[in-house]
Amino acid sequence: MDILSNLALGFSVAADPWNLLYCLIGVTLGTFIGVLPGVGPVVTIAMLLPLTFGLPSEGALIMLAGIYYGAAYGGSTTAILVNLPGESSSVVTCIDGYQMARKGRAGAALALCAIGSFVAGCFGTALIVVAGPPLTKIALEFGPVEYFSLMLMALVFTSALVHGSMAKGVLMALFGILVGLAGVDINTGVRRFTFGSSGLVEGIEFAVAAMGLFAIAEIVKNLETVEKREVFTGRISGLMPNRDEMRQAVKPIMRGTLVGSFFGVLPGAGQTIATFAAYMLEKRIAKDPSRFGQGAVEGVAAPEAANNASAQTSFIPTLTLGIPGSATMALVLGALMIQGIVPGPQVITSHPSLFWGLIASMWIGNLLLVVLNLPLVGVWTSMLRIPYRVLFPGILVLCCIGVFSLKFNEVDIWLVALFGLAGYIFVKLDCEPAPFILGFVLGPMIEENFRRAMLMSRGDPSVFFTSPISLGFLVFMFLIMLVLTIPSLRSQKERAILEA
Amino acid sequence: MHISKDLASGVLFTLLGLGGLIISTSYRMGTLAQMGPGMFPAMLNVAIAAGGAFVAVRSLMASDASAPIERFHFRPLIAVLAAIVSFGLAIRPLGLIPAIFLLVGISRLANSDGGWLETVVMSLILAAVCVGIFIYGLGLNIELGPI
Repeated sequence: MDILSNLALGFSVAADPWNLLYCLIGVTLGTFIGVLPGVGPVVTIAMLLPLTFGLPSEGALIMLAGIYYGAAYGGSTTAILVNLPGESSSVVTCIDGYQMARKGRAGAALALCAIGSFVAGCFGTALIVVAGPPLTKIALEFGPVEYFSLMLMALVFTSALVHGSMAKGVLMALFGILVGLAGVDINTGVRRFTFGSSGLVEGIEFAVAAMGLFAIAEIVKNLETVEKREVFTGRISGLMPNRDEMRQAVKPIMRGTLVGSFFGVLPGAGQTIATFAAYMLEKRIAKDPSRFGQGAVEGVAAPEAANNASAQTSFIPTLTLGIPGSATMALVLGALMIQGIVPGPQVITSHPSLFWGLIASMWIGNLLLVVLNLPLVGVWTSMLRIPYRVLFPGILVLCCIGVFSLKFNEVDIWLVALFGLAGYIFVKLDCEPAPFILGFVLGPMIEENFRRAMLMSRGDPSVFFTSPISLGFLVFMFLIMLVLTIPSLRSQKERAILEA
Repeated sequence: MHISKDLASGVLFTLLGLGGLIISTSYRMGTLAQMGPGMFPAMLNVAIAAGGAFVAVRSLMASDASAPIERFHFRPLIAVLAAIVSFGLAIRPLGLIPAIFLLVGISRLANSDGGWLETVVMSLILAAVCVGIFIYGLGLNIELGPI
């Protein structure tokens, strides 16, 4: 009964006309940026964070979440029609989706994407409803020792699974923690790493770091290359898949949903890996694997379902434990903090309307995507004609005004430029920004929990190994590190990511 | 001999860690049980410096494992950063609209596509949109032009 009353609360929040509007804006904006290559969901969320200040917390979160899964959907639209993945998570969809389009089944492929995403979205939502409350119960038992180990594990996972070497990923995460510590130390009142600047006393704003590292660095990188785009001009006829295609797609959608949910819950794995895993699985169990790459229905349905399932379920660790699994989720967590909500297991009980409203809005948002986007496919593809040279100054303007509106302090604008420069250098050195931003968000919490754990154990570090839960996290972490340093597995991971 | 990405990032992190360590030691350390503000950052910086040294040494041992550093494209980098900084310089004394014009105009120097007419039209549109959203929509207290 609890579940039903919770859901009822959620839907009453999500069905509020204003929240419906925020949801609609979110998914529409998400689809828009998903369609545009070179403008990812991370950049958009970073850019819009300051705009959500004025919104109520439910509305802000609902809109940001809409951008997130809307982008996943928009990315697959261009993957199918133009063979151009709008997001890295829709790279796999290109393989068979574009082939389907060339055979005149573009409409069917798009519809399958939508249906697969919707089914996966429903399952993901249900999973959060079922798994969320018990998980938070467990998490509420965690003390500082367990929390420290859990956060360490999440950081190592993210560092291990990004493109490039694990050592550099871990270094980025550590550096992120360090930068996150800048400002007044809450325990002693000492100003740390402020370099005498009064603008740094309250610490570096999360939106500032995210905007510089992701938006500005990405803009500079995109401007390096001359753009060229070709747009699919063929007409799309027959939006509905035929009976045969539907029958073929049912099981792959279910398998893809399960694969995606697994990777979504795992911190650090993310959507791209989930889609690759789902595609590999379908290819392996197919009776005739040679059809893959020639427009196989399974090759579109399964990864798309996995994509959306992992997008939804990645909210589980973020909202129940306060541990984000990806850069996008770190941004969502940042938005929570901006709203004055301390992330962690207490969110469900202290802000039930926020949690359940968000969950319900995801379901509604998925429905909106299906209803709105199929008829609008033509509009989305025409968006591809917007040249980047027109796009990027607009992004810059929004970033700068947004940052200035945080505190009306020019220091924040200089910091955006500085983080942009750092981000570009990191790009050139193959150092991924995702672990950095995760470390940045978790930094103060990691230090706080470490200090408290040490205080309680009177300075005995062995406490991390004597608590069974903490030991479990650490053992799991070392296993992952070990597995990923075995050369053959490592090269497989690299291949999966490099194809992206 | 070329400088690989791994070598450069290893050296960079070693320097960052050492620099951070010097700053951290100026704060009180305390004991493990009663940590002062300097303890955790100091441990962190030791880890960063050690990790950076590890990455650098590893890249020297197997020099073909990491690709050489790609060319830095200074034109888009400088144009974009200069545009942001000029926005920051202009926003208070000159107001929002001149700041947007500066930002758009300078950032468009990042590449040679598109003429000046396009830049002017874009600046006008963006200025109108931003005034609409931020000043009238969200009620931000920013001056539009020089007072």
